Amino acid sequence: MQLKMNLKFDIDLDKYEGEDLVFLIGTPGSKWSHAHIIMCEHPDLNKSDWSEVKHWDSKGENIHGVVKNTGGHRGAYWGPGNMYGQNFGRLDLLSKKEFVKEFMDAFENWDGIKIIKSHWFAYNIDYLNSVFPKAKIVMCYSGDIESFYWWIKSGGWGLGYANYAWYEDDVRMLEKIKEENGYILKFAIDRDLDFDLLPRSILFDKVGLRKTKLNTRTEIEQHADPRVKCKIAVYAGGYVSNFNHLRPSDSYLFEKRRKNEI
Amino acid sequence: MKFDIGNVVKYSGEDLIFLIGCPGSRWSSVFLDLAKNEAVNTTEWREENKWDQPVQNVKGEHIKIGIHRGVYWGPGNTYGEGFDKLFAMSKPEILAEFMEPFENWDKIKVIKSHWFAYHIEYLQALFPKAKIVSCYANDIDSFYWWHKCGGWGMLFPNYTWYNDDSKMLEQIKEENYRILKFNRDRNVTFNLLSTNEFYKNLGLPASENSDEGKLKCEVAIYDGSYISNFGHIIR
Repeated sequence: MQLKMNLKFDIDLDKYEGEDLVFLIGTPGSKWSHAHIIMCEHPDLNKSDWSEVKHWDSKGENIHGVVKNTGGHRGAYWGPGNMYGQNFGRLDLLSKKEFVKEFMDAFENWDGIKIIKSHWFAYNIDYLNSVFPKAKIVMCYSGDIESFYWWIKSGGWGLGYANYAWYEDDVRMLEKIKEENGYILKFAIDRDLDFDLLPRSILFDKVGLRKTKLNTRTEIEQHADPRVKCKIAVYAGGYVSNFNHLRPSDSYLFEKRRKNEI
Repeated sequence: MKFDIGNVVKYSGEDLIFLIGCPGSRWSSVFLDLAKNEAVNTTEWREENKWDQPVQNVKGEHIKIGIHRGVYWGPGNTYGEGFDKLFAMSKPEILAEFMEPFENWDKIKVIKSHWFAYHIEYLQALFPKAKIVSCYANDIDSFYWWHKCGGWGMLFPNYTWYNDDSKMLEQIKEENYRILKFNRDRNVTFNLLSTNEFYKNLGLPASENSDEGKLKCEVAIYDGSYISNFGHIIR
């Protein structure tokens, strides 16, 4: 289904492969929003989707009785019930143009690297990757019970932003967290990716962001290099055969590893 | 019946404490505090009825959480198989289940079961002089804590009646709802008590050894007295 619609910004859609996109995927409560906020510290990131209405801070007392932010939501969250990506419940029904339109609508300009984050990407990461093969995919993982618990602690059904009505109730939320985590793990493991608690500088490098003082070794030693609060795997679009172990000499990645290029 | 208590019909449970709480509510910690009291009968404790979950705390120290001791009555466990349908059991049948694991019937006996939550009124009607200790930690905290203490990997007690996470969460909500309702209707409040306050409210002797630490979950103690729901109107 190709709708008659104009894109907000001018790009050559036929040639566009998502080279300036980062897809951020994680379940509710996985602390994926922390990964988003950390990535947005890089100057090349386009934050023109941020606004006052797309903003939420959860407050909670820590074990010392001090009120702190327990979670922050910034910028657009794409998905059913939210301002953008209402139709992301069935990604396989969407054309490339429909995807790009939904992505663009949230931004005020199309400069720099854009982070597009949606829980619903988890349900069809393969399709997303085939439509935008040059986009980076950042996957967050925190385990089912931890995520469910943290989502409730961060506000749960009382969260003012984003919208979680699609999940309906606690039991369905838990079921969907399990399902999303399953898909995320499957996609990552099939591509030989590990989930790690990454420092900001390593995350920037893995996503392919330009070197700045935040991810240059000599500069890092003089600055804090906070870790993202959840385990992360980054897929940069390379092809990894599931049969690598059978014929390692044919593998592109094996060759790169052998030459110490990665 | 294993022990002679005279006329079963007249027996009102004056030497019983019913301990009620959902999985993960930290009710087992409350039980351990009760069992430290010299007036409590612990002859139902066995080596095989035991579980400790070793974990690291935030300081990296190895500690044990989810400490389970003594008998847990209820479906899937050695005693109280029919307790999910307590209303279908007679007073002698219920008493026989209570007595079975004990080696003697002296002192105060603490009988603990998650399934009491579904039948507190019936239990109270059968044993009006028993004390009812209800433990409460909210639904999500309880669900989370139960998983932290071993969840489906816990070897004792048995949680197969709860099937899976979805049913566990639903049943925790239902048990908590019923526990709150019972106590609220009787004007009984939940408090985070110190051990000695807890003993005092239950009429147990104060212990010099017990530290002044607090219990690990909020408890409500119902002693069987009658409280009218219309008390506020008459007053």
